[in-house]
Amino acid sequence: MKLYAYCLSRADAKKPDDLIGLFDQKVSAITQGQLAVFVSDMTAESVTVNKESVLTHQKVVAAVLEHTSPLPFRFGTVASEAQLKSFLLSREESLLNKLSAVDGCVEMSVKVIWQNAGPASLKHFYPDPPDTSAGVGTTFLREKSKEIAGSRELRARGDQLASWFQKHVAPLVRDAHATVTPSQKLVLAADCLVERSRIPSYRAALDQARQERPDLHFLISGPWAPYSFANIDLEFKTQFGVS
Amino acid sequence: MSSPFEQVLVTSDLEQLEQADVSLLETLDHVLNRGLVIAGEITIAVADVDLIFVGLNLLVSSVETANEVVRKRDSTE
Repeated sequence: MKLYAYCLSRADAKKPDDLIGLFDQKVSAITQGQLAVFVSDMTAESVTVNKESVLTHQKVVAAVLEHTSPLPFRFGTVASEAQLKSFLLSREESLLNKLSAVDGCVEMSVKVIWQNAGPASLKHFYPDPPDTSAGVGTTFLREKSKEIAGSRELRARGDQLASWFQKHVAPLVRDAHATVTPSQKLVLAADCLVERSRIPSYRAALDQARQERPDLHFLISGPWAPYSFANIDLEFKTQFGVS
Repeated sequence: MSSPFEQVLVTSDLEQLEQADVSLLETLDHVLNRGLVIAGEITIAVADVDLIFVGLNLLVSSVETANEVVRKRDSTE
């Protein structure tokens, strides 16, 4: 029998009761050493990606998150009990270290969207209508130069925004992953590992940031299980230097 | 990898997104695109996709990332 895996935690962590997972199967925990994986029986060949299944996965992980900070598996993780135990056994030290890193924390996500200061505001850097008196080569180089100047300006604004955001949240987070893409509408996407006791302060800091920059739109979500901090092999780019 | 939000914002204005859409996008972004990966153990079907339209692109990205993790892991073992 294959098992669908939702998340893992320390074996001695408190576990939620009577959880129903995918395919209406009861969620249980299998343990190996100091670790436990929350699973349910897999009664189909594969997991269909639809709204219900994604939300069910998240519901189970969120229920575990109420008691402890687990490492969530990616949606669609299916394995036999033997495979899961082998994974826990062979990766025990790394997984325990990762659990220690997220202990007592949740993930808070924020996405910042340019309103007026993004790419559209840089039209003055973009090519003007062709100058008919200039040669083809001159016109091309002139346009290229303006494009480069526009890119630099955008990059500078993106860096400035990242620094400003870091100033607000860095003192309140244990770790953070951020991506800055000044050429896109979604200029900054950050996932912050926040201790549960600091969530109110974190939210207050974001409220203050919002007030300071009404030209930006913020999408704030959380608390999540530490999805972005769960992998033991992925190297994430940390731009805030707060880890 | 691009965020599903970026894919939506290419064609939609933020104001057009309902709060429910934003919440679903965030859930998709976390559940499909992140999390712990065990080598070779992602088992999903793409049939019957009724997520908002970014779902499928995100799913493909998710599988690609999972495969990348597995390749990296295999190459270091």
